[in-house]
Amino acid sequence: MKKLAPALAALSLAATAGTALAQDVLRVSAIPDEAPTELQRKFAPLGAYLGKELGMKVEFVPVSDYASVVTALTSDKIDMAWLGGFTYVQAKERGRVVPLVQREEDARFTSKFIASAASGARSLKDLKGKTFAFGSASSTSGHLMPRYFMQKQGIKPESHFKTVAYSGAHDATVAWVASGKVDGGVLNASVWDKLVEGGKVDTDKVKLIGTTPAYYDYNWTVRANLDAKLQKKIAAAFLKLDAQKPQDKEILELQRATRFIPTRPANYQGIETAAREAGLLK
Amino acid sequence: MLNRDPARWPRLLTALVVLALLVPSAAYTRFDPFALFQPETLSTLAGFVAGFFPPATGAAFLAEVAKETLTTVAVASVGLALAMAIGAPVAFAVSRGLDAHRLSGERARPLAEGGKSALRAAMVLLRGVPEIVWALLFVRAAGLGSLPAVLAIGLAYGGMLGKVYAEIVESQPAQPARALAAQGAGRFVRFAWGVWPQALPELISYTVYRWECAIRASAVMGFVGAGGIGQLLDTSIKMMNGGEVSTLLIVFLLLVLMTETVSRFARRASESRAGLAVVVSAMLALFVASVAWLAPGWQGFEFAALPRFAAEFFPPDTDAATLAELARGTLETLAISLLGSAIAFFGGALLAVPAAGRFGAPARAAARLLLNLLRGVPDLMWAALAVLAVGLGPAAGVLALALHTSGVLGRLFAETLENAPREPETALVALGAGRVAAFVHGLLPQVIAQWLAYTLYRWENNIRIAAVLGIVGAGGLGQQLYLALSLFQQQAAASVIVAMLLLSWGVEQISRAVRRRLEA
Amino acid sequence: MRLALDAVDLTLSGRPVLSGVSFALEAGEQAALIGPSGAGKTSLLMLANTVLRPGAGRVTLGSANPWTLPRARLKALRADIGTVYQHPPLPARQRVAQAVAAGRLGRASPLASLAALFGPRDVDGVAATLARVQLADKLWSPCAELSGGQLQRVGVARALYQAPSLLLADEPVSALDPRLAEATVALLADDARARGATLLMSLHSVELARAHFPRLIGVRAGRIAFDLPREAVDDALLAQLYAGDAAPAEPGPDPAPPLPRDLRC
Repeated sequence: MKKLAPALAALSLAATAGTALAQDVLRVSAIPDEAPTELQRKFAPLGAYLGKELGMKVEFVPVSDYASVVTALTSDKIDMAWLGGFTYVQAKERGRVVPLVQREEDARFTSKFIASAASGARSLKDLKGKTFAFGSASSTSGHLMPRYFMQKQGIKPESHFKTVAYSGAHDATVAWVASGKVDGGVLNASVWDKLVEGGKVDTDKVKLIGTTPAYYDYNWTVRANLDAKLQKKIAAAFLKLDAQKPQDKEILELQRATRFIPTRPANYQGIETAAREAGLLK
Repeated sequence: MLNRDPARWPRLLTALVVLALLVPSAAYTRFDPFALFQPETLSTLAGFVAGFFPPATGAAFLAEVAKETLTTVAVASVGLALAMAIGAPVAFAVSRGLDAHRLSGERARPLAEGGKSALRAAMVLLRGVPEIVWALLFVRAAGLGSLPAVLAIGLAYGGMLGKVYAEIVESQPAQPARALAAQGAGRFVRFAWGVWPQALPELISYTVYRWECAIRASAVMGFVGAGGIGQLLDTSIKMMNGGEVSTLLIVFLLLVLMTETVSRFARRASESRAGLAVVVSAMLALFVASVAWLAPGWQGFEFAALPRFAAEFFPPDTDAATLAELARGTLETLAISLLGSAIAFFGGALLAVPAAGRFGAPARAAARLLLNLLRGVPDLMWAALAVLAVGLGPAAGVLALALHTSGVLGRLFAETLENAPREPETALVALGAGRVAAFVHGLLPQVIAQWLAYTLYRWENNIRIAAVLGIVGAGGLGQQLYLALSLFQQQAAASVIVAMLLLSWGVEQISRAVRRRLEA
Repeated sequence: MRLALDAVDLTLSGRPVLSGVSFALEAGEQAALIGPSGAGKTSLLMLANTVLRPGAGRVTLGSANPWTLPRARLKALRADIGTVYQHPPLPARQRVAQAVAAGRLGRASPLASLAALFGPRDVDGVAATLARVQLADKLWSPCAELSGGQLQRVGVARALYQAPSLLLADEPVSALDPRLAEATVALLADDARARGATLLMSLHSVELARAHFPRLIGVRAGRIAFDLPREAVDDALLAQLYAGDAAPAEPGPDPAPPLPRDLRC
């Protein structure tokens, strides 16, 4: 029983050796901004498509929280990840990463403020002294940008609201507001629209009370030391997706994208500035 | 005037101090005991409980639960093995029961004594940081899966085992070791021939008891993303899937029940030589099986990242805004622990009376069941549930601590009630006192000092728990730690951890001082 | 209050302790119980104060059989019966004032008894009673700080403070020096006489019994050996009563359990 430490070291060596050898599997992850089952469902056809296009196995690695995705990508545990604007900035700060593509929608992304009907609130001002939920603390659309825009309006969340909580995910925020666990919250516009379209949210109970200005959000990012040819192939595969083709249409719909466009680090300068101003990046 | 109670002013003062601590605590944590019983809250609660039925029984979900339950047990087992690997050598090195200069007339060597003090201090640090915080740190530093949980349990419990093993060695009769020391035997010989044979059953028995604790600890590791049944619970709670939550709670309680049975059986078995051999081989087998179960998930854990990550914590953040925030979190943590422990004192006392069999056997069984339920669900799990029931924030923390600690204290209180002599009470009944009067004047004075000592002892523990409840959204320093680590603000996280350690150290000093006065 | 036992048998954990015990004390009468250790004197007194229930036969208190009374009536009856114990069963941490004041708990409402936790109402009355047993200076001491003899006198003070119509005393002066023992037995006897209360006291010392009680009841091996006026009790009877007696060792109180090693988890 006492021989554990050497055994562990040997195991981890073996693991590192395994990753260094050949790149025959592309390990992909995504920030868990929605329920894990939903993430898997969204990824399945995209994974199959990428596998076919790249001629390699594509594996989805589920991760429990945002920060873990950043850690995993910057320590080469995964090759590619779907990141939010803020998690991308965090990854860039902590390691070498390359943003490849983003959805056309991500270039003008917004967040939606919601409140429970029971709270009677019709604006952020009305939520003064009530309870409020962000999504994950590391979320761009569920935390950083709404906080930034609130600060610009002179609202400091910690003193404006009675309590500030972090639900962990966008759909969880809606569930919290719907159940009355918190009075108000904010989430990613795309998830909100999906929940409304799908009838997953009772709009009699949960009211939309505001929308943020537009900003750049999500992208697909790879680790910088991934084979450059492979990086190009991945980007090309994304850019090739065409909503006119039936099988591509399914993938794009699940990703809630009309099409993918190239992206570059400069797009996220605004997010970085916002993060520094909001005190989330030091 | 002549017959004034000399203790009245000190007592009044004590009462006022306690009130002066508890009333602001209630305000500060926004814990309103009366709000709990308002119709509005009750209907929310009823809806919340109703959401638990029926428990989820989907095949895919159950398969997942089974898998994670095994992981939970395996993590606890491997974590404990690691703790033994840390604790046993340390205990051997530092135990005063093996020191030559204590056994014979030899002089102590200052260098060796200094080394031992340093080891002891390291153990204090290891066990001073709650295991859930260790887990959170490892998850952040080096990634996913069950290994952070194993390391967390290994470190925190290693610190504990190091201390307790050393104490067990010290509590053995010294003559055999002394005789060996007189013959010039070295430290190892003194241990192996002088202490080991007598101490072994107690060492094993304590280790098995710790394993029971490790299972509970392992079950909540998922709240920080370190796998096991807690991970499923975290997701189900976040998604407000009551059916899944109740299935998970049922499975967890069965697991605790099973662990307790196995642990009790093993501890009894380890009293005999043959039984001891069986227990030790079972532990070895469990360890091997657990490693086999977990090892595939350990690939990708980056040990090399740990030192780099550790370096990022220095120096701790000391800017004014962080310190102000820390002060707020510290006060909130203190308030949660005070109020939670105080409510638990009354809750425990109320439940202890039936649990001690004073209202007959059926009431006794029912009260014991309730106490076991309250105690069996870990504080962090109660907190996650309390957050659902009463909303986010420190009030949920108070409720969680109160519930769990009521269970712990209730059981201890019931034991003291059962052990206290009945004669004073019988004498009061014989002079016509009612049941209540006989109880409060005949029995209560015998147990009350012990009850308060238990509560203070528990408060020392609760301050640590209160400091981490924020991880599941129940206020206090934990929320700040979680946020800081989510945002990669390691230096701020370091300040929070230092604040946690200082706070629990301070509370320990206060509690010890008061307990010493109580026991005098 | 009249006390009568009629053909009473008592068995404790399978062992017969008393058999066929019959005697009666009229209201205001005083008697001493004498006999060797283990004869059943304590059990007999515990039957009289309704702590023990007879296996057969009948105990009558006043005009009532306590075991057929409704709860409230039994409680009221008990409030009028006082007991002095050889080892006063007082919680170690209780203060003397509380321990004595508890003598009147039988007449207090539940609410008043709770309020009394914060300090006795009638401190002056308690202090006056303590002065009668020369313990006025111990009013606020915890019982744990008292010697065996002082504790015994606190027990006496509780019974005096209760002022019952039937006073039962079980070796109330066994831990006192002879001078104090004499004074304490006299105090109890005088108090009972002054209030017209019935007094039954078991005594180790035959001299004290003879000196203070007109009637002596000898108990041996669970039976009444004799029940006679003191003049009729001669040395031959006493020799027969105490034949082969050897005092058994008293077991000490249990020490308090230590704090468990670990309350975490």
